[in-house]
Amino acid sequence: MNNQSLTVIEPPRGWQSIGIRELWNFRELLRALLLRDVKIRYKQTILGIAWAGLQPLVGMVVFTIALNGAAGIPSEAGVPYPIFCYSGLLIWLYFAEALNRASRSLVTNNLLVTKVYFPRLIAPLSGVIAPVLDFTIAFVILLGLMVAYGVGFSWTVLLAPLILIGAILCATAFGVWLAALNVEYRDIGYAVPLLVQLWLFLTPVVYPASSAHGVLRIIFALNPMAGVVTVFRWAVLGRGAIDWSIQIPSLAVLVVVLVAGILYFRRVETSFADSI
Amino acid sequence: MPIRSEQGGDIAVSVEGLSKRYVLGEREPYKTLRSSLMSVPNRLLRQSSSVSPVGGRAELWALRDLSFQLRQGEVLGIVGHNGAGKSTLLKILSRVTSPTNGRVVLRGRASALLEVGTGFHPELTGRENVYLNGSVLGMRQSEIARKFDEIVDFAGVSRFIDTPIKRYSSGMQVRLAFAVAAFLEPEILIVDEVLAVGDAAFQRKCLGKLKSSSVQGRTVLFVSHNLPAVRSLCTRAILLDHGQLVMDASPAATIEHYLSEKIGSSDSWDLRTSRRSDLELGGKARFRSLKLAGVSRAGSIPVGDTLSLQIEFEVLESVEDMVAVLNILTVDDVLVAQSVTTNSYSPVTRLDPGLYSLVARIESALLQPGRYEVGLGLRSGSMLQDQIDAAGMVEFIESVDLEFPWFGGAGGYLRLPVQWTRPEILHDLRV
Repeated sequence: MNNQSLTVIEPPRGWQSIGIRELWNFRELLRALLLRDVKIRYKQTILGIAWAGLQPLVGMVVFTIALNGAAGIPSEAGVPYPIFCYSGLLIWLYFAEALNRASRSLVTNNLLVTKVYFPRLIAPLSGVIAPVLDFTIAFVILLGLMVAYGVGFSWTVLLAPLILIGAILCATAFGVWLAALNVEYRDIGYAVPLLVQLWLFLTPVVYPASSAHGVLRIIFALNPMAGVVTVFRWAVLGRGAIDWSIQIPSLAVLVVVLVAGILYFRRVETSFADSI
Repeated sequence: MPIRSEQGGDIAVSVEGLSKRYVLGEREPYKTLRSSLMSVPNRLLRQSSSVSPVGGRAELWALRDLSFQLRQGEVLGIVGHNGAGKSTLLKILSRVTSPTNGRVVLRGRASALLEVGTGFHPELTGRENVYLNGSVLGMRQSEIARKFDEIVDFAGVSRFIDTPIKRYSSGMQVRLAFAVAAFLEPEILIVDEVLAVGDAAFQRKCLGKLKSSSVQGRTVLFVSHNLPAVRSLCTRAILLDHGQLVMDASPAATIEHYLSEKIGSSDSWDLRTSRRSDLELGGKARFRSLKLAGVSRAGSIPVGDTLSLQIEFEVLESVEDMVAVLNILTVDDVLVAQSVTTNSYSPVTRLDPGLYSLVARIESALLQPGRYEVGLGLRSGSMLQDQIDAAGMVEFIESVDLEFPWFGGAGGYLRLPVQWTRPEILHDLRV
């Protein structure tokens, strides 16, 4: 009876560490939840997985006609506007979907939360990881589009996965806050789609960062997704330069929001089952 | 803390001073410091009433200073009324929710089964759900793969294992869900009322499986309203009432205590203060008392004798179309029989304020020996005026001393007036 597991259950005691080891112990649950989400994602649809590519493609067409064509919004560094737009939408749509899923993760899994124990961070984590599949499909389409438009490849495209991790961290940072708050205030569920919509226009997704001045540049600096989108586009298209005046502050904001978010989440997670 | 108890044997579960407070009407406050400060005066002034307003908000102590220990291999039954704290205790033990005070130490790998089929998704196939549900219950993929065939076999759904479970009947879903749970191999198993699902044959199969798991030296905590199951499965039982431990003894003794607390062995009951049904009641008429005639003082009567129930009720405001209802329930709250006064005469068109008496006479109860609860209701038109689910209790006993050569009495609830013939020889096989 010596080397058996010992569990001590006590009242919550304020701030907790992230609990990496426990998350690792529950990796199979995370895997099972991801597998579930991927399997049911396109059940009973006609187009199935094609939806993953359709979303950014339709966005690209609409924004090219409306913004590039009608409003005269330019591209950047000589890249055709459709490619410019698609590459931005690609990483943005990943973020939007990941954030949306993460913020709803505890509420949609409420039967699990109220009936079984697991490190609660598993729920938002599965929310931000599941849309990576859609991203990958849409990314392959981007490579095809680049060939079609004669946009050459640069070695920096190999950095794309690394920048995707940046987007995952970004979705995690805001997702854990929203998920925890959503347990208490269901308003979050209504606010997130609106938030994502407004956020899109405060991020250089469909227009170039270089065209922004004044207040908008300050917003970029405070907006971690502005950093992610611009550096993603730089890597994939291999043109232009990294704008460090956006990258550095937005990365700092990301780190602060992420650490604070996880600490907050860990602190309030003990009451999720009671208040969900 | 001692690892061994005085009686010997290793302590697998140790619960010390466990309390859980819920704030009613409001959500659980987040600020741990504030809630712990607020609980101090409350702990000093611990009262018998479990709902007390503190800081202007009503709070409910679902558990209060609960302590017990469980040796390895013990099977503990947890009984009590609804709201006694049984489920809260299991939720804390399974770490779904955290205690307000106190602590629990579990020695060994623990699995909790608060529900069967947690995480089941209707769009996924039986196979996919087995893996998902197994992971949710803390099984490794390799472990599920190893037991997969047995699980499917136990559930009896092998033909449909690659069909989405939304096409399953509800019975098949439950069988598959329970089968996954049945193959958990924890050292400590925490089970909530999960046996109340499935058909009778499958329930027996599950009880058998649970029984064999206790034989394997597993420590089990088991909440159930199914008192016969508690009696046959458990080695010990505790009774909770308003979040406090009332009794900790053998299953038979605890159940006996629980039943007598619930209603009391008697032949008459004052119903003015009895617990009313949770249903919406008109309150224009109220029961006052129930008295059994033809029974012993302890409320028992031989099967087949005439039982009379003398009911007194009070009409406070005039009521129209009054009907009284008599329910006979098992101690596990299964409704066995129901009778209404309209079986004998039309509703009384009008009753003016006053005290009334009513007698229900059952000429020959066709019930198997055992304890039964008596429930009473008063209805005027479609409005329920008063209802008491456990107004009294009657015990039917064997009229003649039959010696059955098997354990226990006969099964079922009803004693049918069956006439059996003696065996007649059809063909003599002696040479």
